[in-house]
Amino acid sequence: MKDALQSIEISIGAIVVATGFDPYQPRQGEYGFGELQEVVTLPQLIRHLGLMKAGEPLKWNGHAVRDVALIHCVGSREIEGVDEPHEDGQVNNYCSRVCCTATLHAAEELRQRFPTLNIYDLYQDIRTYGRGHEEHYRGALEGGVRFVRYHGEERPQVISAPTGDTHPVLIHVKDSLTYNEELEIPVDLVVLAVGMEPRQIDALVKMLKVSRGNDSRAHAGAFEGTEARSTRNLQDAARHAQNDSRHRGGNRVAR
Amino acid sequence: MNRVDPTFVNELKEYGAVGIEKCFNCGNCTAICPLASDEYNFPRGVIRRVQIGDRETMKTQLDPWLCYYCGDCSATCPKGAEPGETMMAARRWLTAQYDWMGLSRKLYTSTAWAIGALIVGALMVLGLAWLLHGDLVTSQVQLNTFAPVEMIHVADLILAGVLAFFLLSNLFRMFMFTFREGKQWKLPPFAVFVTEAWQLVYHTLTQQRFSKCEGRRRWISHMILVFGYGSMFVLIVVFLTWFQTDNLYPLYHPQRLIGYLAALAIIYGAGDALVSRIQKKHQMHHFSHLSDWLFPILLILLSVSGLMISAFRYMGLPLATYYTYVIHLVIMMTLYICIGPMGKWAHLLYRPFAVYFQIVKEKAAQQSEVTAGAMASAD
Repeated sequence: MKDALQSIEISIGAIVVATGFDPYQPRQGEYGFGELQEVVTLPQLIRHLGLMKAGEPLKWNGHAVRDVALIHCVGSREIEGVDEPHEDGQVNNYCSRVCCTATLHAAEELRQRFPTLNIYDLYQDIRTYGRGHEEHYRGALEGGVRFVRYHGEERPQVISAPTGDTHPVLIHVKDSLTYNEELEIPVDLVVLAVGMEPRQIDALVKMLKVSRGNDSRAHAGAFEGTEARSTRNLQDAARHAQNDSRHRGGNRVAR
Repeated sequence: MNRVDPTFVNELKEYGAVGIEKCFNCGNCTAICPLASDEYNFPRGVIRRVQIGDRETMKTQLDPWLCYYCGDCSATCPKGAEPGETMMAARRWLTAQYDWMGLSRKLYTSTAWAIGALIVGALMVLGLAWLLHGDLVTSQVQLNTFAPVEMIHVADLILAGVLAFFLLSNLFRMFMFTFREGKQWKLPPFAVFVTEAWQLVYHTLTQQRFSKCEGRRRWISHMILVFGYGSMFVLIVVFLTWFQTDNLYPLYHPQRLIGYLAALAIIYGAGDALVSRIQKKHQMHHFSHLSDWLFPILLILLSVSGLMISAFRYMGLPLATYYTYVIHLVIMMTLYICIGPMGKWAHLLYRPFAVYFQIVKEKAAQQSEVTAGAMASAD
C-alpha cells in the first residue's frame, strides 16, 4: 500500500510554477551543427570536459584542439525576418539570460585547464546577469580570450576549411569592433552557446488557468519561477518569487 | 578578408606592450585623445588591429606616429589596459617593419642584442682609434695632432652617409607601406606632395601637433633637446673643421658659445626625460623599455664628454683631452648603432613624415571629392 498513488489535500497560499527548460537544439546545418563534426553545443562540451581526466590534453575527433570559438546567442535573441522560424512559426526573440555567464565560465575553465589554447568568443552583447557573474567576463578578458562582436542581422558563418588549411573549420564574421570588417577565424572546434527553450506546458496552463505569452511561456496568475514567465537564473527566480509573495501579502518564499 | 592571427599580441608584448588583452574596446581612450580623429581613431583602432593580429593593416598605419603619448588614454582606461603603452610598442614595432635589415627587431626585443651592439660599436671605435690616432703630444694639448680634424671630418661624413642611407631606405619602406594597397600603388597626385612639402618643414621645426598634447612643458623641453641636438649635428657634420680646433677662444666666441649652449640644451632635454622616467610621475613614463633609457643616457653622456673635452683643453690637460675624446667617439658610435636608424633615434624622420603623409592623403582625398562633385554636377 505504501507505494500506491495517493491524493492528498493541502492548503496553500500560492503556487510557484517552475517549468524548467530544455537547451535549444540547433537545426541541422545551423552554424554547421550536425554537418561538421567540429561543431558542438555548450552542454556537449561541458559534458566532455567533465569526462576528461585531469591533465589530459583537449582533443576533438582525435585531433588536438589549438583554437576554439564560442558563439553566443544560438537559439536566442533571434530576429523575425532574419532568422528562420521554429516549428511553432516563431523565432526565439528572447535573451536566455544564462548562456553568457555559462559560456564565459566555460571559457575560463578551458583557459585554466589548457593554457596554450586560443579562445575566441563571438558575442552580440555580454549580458552577465546576476551578482558576481561579470567576474567571469573580466577573468576571460584578462586571461586572453579574444572577443569578436557580431550583429544579430549578420550571424557568423561556420564553414569547412578548404583542404590544405591549417585548421578544419573557418568562421567568417563581420566584427563590429573592427569597423564591421569581415574576419576569418581558423579554429579546431566551434562551441554553440545554446539558449533555453520552454517545455511543453499546455496541460499545466489549462489546469492553472494562467495566460501565456506569445513565446509559449506561462504568463501570469500564479507565481512563476524559472522559465514559466521568462528565462531566469536561480537567483532571479528566487528573488522574483520572494517579491511576488510579498506584494500579495503571502508568506515569503524560502530560497 | 583578414585572417585572425592570435600570435600578434605576444609579438607586440616583446616590444614592450602591456595589458592589450584587458581592452574591451570601449573607446574611452580615443574619446579622450586630443589628437585622434575620425580617420585616425587611435589608440582603440590600433589596439584592435593588434588584438585580431592584423599585421598587414598595422604596417600601413601612420597612427602610432601621430600620438605623442600624453598618457590621458592610459589614465582614463577603465580596464587598465595601458593603451598609451600599446601605441609606444607599436612605434617600436613599426620601426622594426621599416628596417629592411631586420636588425631593429633584434635590438628592440633582445637585451643581449642591444648590449652586444653597444659593445660592437665601442670596439669598432677603439680599434679605429688604436690604428689611426696620431702622436700623443704631452707638452700641450694638440687634439688635431692626436685626431686630425680632416680625418675625423671624413669619418663623420662617412658615418652621416651610412646613417642617411639606412634612414632613407627605411623611410622609403614607410612610404611604400603607406601608399600601397596589397601590391598596388595608391599614390596621391605628385603635385599634392609638392604643394604640401612646406608642411613637412613646418612640422619638423615646430612639432606643432606635439604641443597640442597635454602638458606643454614636455613639448618645450623636447624642443630644447631637438634644437640642441640639431645644432650640434650640423656643427659636427658640416662645420667640424671650424668646431674642432686647437685654438683657445674667449668664452663669448661663437665656437665655444654655440657648442656649450647646444650641449647644455641636450643635457637639459634628455635629463628632463631621464628624471621623469626615474620618478615615474607622469603616465607616459610608467613603463620604460631599454631603448627609452639608453637614448637619453647616451645623449647626456655624449654632451658631458663633449664638455669635458673642452674643459680639459682649456685646462691644458693633453692626455685627459685625448682619452676623453676617444670615449666621446665611443659613446657616439654606440648611440647610432644601438638606437640609430634602426631604433628610437629614427623617430626624428618618421614622425614629421607621418604628419606629412597624413596631410597629403587628406588633401588628395579632398581634391578627388571636389573633382567627383564637379563631375556629378556636370552630369
